Amino acid sequence: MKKRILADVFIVSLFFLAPWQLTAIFAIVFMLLFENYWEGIVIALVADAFYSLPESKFFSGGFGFFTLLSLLIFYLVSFVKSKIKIL
Amino acid sequence: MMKIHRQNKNGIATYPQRRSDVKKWIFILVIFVALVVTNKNAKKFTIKTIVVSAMPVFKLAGFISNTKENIIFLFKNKQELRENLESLGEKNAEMENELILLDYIKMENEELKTMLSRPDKKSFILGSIISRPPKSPYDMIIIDAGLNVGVTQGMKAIAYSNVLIGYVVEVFSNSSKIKLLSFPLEETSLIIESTKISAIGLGLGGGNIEIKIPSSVVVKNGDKIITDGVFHYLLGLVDKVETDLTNPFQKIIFRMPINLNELQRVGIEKII
Repeated sequence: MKKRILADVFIVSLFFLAPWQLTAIFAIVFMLLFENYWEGIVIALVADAFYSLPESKFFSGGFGFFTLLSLLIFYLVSFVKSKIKIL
Repeated sequence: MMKIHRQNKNGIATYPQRRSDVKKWIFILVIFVALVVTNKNAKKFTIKTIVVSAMPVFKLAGFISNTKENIIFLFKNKQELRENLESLGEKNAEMENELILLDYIKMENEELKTMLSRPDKKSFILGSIISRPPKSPYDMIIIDAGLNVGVTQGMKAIAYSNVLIGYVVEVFSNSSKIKLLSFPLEETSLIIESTKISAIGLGLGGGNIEIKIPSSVVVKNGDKIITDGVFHYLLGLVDKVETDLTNPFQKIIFRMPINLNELQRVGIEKII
């Protein structure tokens, strides 16, 4: 739990201070490392709210693109984990 | 009826059970996002709520970035700084001389416009940049001036009082989003000053803008590109000219004449 809180603080700091590519990479890494890393989707939703532009196409600046992409990655990560996890 | 999950010996739901819960939540979220994306009011409400609540953190992050840069500056090589200072001093003297001539031309220009009933009186609202590329994924910036100081949608964003960088596209209570002219597929009407040819600039992203004009027009690197209309703003300087013997058109690529990373404030031109 402690590690997860540290990861959350780290990714929030990245979002507000670092280039977006770094935030995206670490969000994916944390999705792989932690179980059900919903925080990655929250970050994507915040990114959409801040960086989407009205009257832009969905794939270039439209609201919801990052959120849907993060949900897709979240699902894929969860699917891959289910195939390799031994319980 | 209460749903009972299968549990392992530690009392935790089994992995397939947890996975089906995840699937359920993903489905709910996808439906939520789809609804928000398709409904204009819901979209506006969601964006406004998130931006307004997270804005103080953004401002704090901007302050931390500035402080960090100031601290790094203190430890910079003094010799290098001295050399820079000398070279900038020389440039400054050169520019002051040019400015004397420009001031005269500017005054003459204003007089002429007043005579023709087109007075060139502009006023600006100052805004500090709190997010810019590469922090933002697209060619857009966020400033800390919003409805509270009179910013409205469609206002021009001006850097260094004469460089047009973009337009206000979304306004919140104390912040605004500015779409840069280099935003992919953004169209800008412009004039290549040396040839007086007007054309349409197409944003390419990454601060670059492309123009296509006939190959017969002679354009050199460094030529000024300005906005069309009565009151001109500088848009950039020609950076690259690509010609092809088989193509009747040449491609001109230019960049905004500012470094977005160094730009701290922008002026939002009031619509009078």
